[in-house]
Amino acid sequence: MALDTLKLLADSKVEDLSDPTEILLEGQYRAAYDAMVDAQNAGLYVGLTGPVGSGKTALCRKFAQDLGRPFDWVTFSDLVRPSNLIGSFDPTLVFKYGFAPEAFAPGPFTVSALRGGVFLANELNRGDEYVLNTLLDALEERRLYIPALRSWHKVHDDFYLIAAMNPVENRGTRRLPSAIKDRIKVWVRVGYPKRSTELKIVQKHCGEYQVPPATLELILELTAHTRDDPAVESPASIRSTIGIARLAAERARRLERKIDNNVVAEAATLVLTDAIKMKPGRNIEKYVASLLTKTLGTTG
Amino acid sequence: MATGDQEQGNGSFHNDHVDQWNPVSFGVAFARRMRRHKGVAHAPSLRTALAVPSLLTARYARLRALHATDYVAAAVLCSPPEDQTIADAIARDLVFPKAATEAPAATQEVASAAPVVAAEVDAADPLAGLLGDLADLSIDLDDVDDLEDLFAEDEAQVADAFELFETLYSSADARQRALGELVASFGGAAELDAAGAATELLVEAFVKERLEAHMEHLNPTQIQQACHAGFGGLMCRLATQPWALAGALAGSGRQEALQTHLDELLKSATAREAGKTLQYLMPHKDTERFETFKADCLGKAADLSDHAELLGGLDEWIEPADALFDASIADAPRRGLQAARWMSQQFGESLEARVFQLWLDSLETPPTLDQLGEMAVDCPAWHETIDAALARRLTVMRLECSTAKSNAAPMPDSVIHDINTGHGLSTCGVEHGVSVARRLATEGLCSLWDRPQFLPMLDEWLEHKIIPFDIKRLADHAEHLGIPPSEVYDRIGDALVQLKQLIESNGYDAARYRMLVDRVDGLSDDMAAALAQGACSNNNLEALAALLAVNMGATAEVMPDDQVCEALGYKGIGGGPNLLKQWFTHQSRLSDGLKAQIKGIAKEALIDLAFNWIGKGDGSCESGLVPQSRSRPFRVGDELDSLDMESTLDAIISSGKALDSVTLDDLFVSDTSKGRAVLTVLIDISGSMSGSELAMCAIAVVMLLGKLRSDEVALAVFESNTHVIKNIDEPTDLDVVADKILDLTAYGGTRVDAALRWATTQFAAAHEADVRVLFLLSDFYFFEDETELMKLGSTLTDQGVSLLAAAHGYSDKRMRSALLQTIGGRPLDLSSLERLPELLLDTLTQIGDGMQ
Repeated sequence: MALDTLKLLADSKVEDLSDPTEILLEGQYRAAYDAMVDAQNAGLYVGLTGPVGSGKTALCRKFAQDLGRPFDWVTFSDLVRPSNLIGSFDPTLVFKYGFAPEAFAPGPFTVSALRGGVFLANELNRGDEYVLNTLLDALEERRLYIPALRSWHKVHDDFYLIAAMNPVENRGTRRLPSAIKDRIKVWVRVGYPKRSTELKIVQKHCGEYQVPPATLELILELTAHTRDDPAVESPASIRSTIGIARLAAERARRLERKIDNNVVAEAATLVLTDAIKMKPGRNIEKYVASLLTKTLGTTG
Repeated sequence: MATGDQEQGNGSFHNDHVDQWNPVSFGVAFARRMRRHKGVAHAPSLRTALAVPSLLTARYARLRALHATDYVAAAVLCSPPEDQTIADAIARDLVFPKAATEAPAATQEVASAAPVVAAEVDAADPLAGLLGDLADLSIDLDDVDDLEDLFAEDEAQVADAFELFETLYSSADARQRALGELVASFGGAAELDAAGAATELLVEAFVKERLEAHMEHLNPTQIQQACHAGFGGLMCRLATQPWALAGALAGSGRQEALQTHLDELLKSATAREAGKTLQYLMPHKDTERFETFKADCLGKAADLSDHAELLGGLDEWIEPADALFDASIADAPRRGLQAARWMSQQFGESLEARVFQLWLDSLETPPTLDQLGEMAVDCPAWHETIDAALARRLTVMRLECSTAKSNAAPMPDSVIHDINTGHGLSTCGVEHGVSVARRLATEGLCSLWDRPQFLPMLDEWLEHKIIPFDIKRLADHAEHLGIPPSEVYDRIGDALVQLKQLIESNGYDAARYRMLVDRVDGLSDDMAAALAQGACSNNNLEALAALLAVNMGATAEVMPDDQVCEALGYKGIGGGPNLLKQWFTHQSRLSDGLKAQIKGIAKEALIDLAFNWIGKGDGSCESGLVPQSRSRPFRVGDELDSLDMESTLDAIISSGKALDSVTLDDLFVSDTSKGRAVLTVLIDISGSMSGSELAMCAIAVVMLLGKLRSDEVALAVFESNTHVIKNIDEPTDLDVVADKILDLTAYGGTRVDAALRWATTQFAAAHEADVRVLFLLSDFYFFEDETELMKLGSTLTDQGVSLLAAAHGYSDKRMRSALLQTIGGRPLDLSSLERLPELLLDTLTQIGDGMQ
């Protein structure tokens, strides 16, 4: 039977883009959130920096949600072009309408700027300087030039931009152009959360499983070690902690076993071997095995 | 005056618990101090000066109170991540005046420079008061100079960085003293002063920043000092190399972690890593752990190379055990000999003759000339063995050639092979090897009976810079074959005789001098000196120019310095590449004054020659290597403005479609993306490289730097040490580069590991590169352990690097293949180094075409 694409798309359409998972506003997340609130009240754009998987995007979603404004975002990379932000003519509509506004499909930045939303420039420092410069007028002059329409448009008073990015040492990142850097006036660093906060986050993401608190503590202990060990270049993120907990719980459920250290060790081996990166000259398999033996007493 | 609970009369908010500042005066003072600090990556702009009070006001509006921590937090938050450490130190300095030396004075000054007059505040708009304050500062926002005036600070009020440095450096407190010593190693008080670090807190920030920036290059002492100065945790966190990590763990007293680390190193580290680790543990050599680790490492050494690596780290002579000699002889005698040679250079303990003798004893059949070329040692046993090997070879050679003669068969391959053997011997570093090579050339040529082959074979030997031993015998043999002897003399000796006669007769013929200079390969010191004295007395500049062009060292020694500079390159005799060749061959024999003058002339010649190449091929130092505009298929999101009409129409016409059935697949756009390539070049200039070869390398290097954008090329040359000509993040200054290159001399053995490690740092510094290419020119006879080089190769693979492995003459093909297999890339073969600039141009073209 042929696939009914229209039905498939219609059934799966999401109208409410708000994040169903509420972020825990405590510890560093509370401080960062407050700084974002202050920055927004002071009319200053904010930039969040921190390692991969430290909760930056979730924080932005929460912030936009609380402001009650539409939330749009673009994740930057080398492939993002100005038209991906501003919009472009739909070539097929151009045949029908010519180069008229009817044939113009606005990009997410234009939509957000004109309707007064919160725009998340995710991974901003992975974008090309030429592309980033297209944001400048809207940020500074509060007006936006749409080259395809050859017209200027007023940016809505409620429009607000948040940039999120990994530290510049990370692969694939570039140094931000100074013009952009000068427009982002508040820089909030987000690291990995405290143990108690992370425990609550993991519990929230493992709701359907009954993972004993003592097991979760052991898993947190594992990931915390990777963040303290000088031999590890890129440690385990919160996602890795959640991944280990969920994988261990699911494996125990399928095998009808209780979640013991062996199950956790098996799950941790699968998750951590690819999730963390060692410094040159250190062997990941040996490191994970030694970490599991030290923390769990077994490698599974 | 202020009303309500928002603002007080002094411009501060009610419930602002910071007495000496208000948001505006703090913002201005903070921005001013940041601008004065040379260590900041982004000097705060006017916007930052405004952002701090804005943020503080917003915070006040939310919390209805401000504390010192809010001021510090606002200052940190309003600074980019890379400046936040400095911002924190400066803000604390301002807010907690006890820790600062000049804060009270600064406070007063700011207060007087920026009298804050309270304004009526609209309670609903907390920014109104702030804006009022700013208005009262009388800052003309269109004229930033006004703000610059605010930022200008009386230098007299700043504590003297020199005094602070002295205090720290001579302090009885170990932590402060370590801080002072680190400052000394990072440029001393002058650097501290330039960075505006006038309090201990700022000195700490200064040192921390330098440590972070130079982590890869910190020496063992610096790591120990950093640990003493309280940066132990930072060192442990930042250390990427196992030896640096060991030093940091030892320095910060993390004994358990250190033991685990050393245990793991013992299990998996190469001898090189273990040696480096010992070097970084040397500041702790009096501990039992060090002694145990040292003993374990020495016990684990598998051969002489391993032992040499460990001694390199320890910097102490320890006699290698007999078993190590045996292991080296059995597995890799050449590498064992190189290790022995290195130990002899470092510690003055000669082991080469013993290695040679053991190797000789281990052979079941007498060694060949090729083998002896690889195992060259200047000792009687080697001389005796090679003479015997030559005699054996000559016997076989005569037999082969007489058989060929009687059968009218083509020349045997072994005769051609002899030329390569001769080249190996002439570059083996032992004088007797050159003599054997010349005898081999004479005998080889005199054994030829096929007339058409004689002169090409002679040319081939001469091409390899090997002049047959007995020219008279060669001329007789040529005559016997029906070749005029003058053909032999023309090629070998006649040019020299002609030059000698021309100079002795005080001849003036610039064209002839130029021609002869090109043909004369060398001139003995005695003859050069004698001829130069005659030419000097006649003040014959043409003759002197010719003599300087064939033996600059001996000629310059008998001439007044002024006359040397006058004669050098006179009427174009011996200028250009020849001048560079003479410079690289004879620079050590020149007096200091003359050396400086000739270097200046050589530099101009070098840059001129390089510029001849710069105009050729792809790439330009402005636009970058990778083309910035290309045609590619349309994808959703592309602008119609960027449609490449020519390519699009071509595609539509060639597909035979009507216009109304055109789809997105038929459209092409000009891609405006700006690709970036990074080319890291490593050139091996170890011992065997001649002056003319060095000259060609120099021209190629300057050419390359002149052609590329400065952020696309990094370049180093190496022998036992690595000499960095240009780091990727440095601007290109061809004068500076030429200066560095002209100081190079071919020396020592071939150690590539440090060079490869440096290359990895260059690629790591270029995050955004699309194409990464490592160009390595070497003979690939490396001193290091293969496993370790493969590890470095894997790091380069992880960085997405392609290797172009170029070799000329003899090379270790196995090592080259292994590196290529690990890193990925392809080999390039150079028939001679004169092709190097051309080869590099080809490489640039390939990179421009998107080579991965």
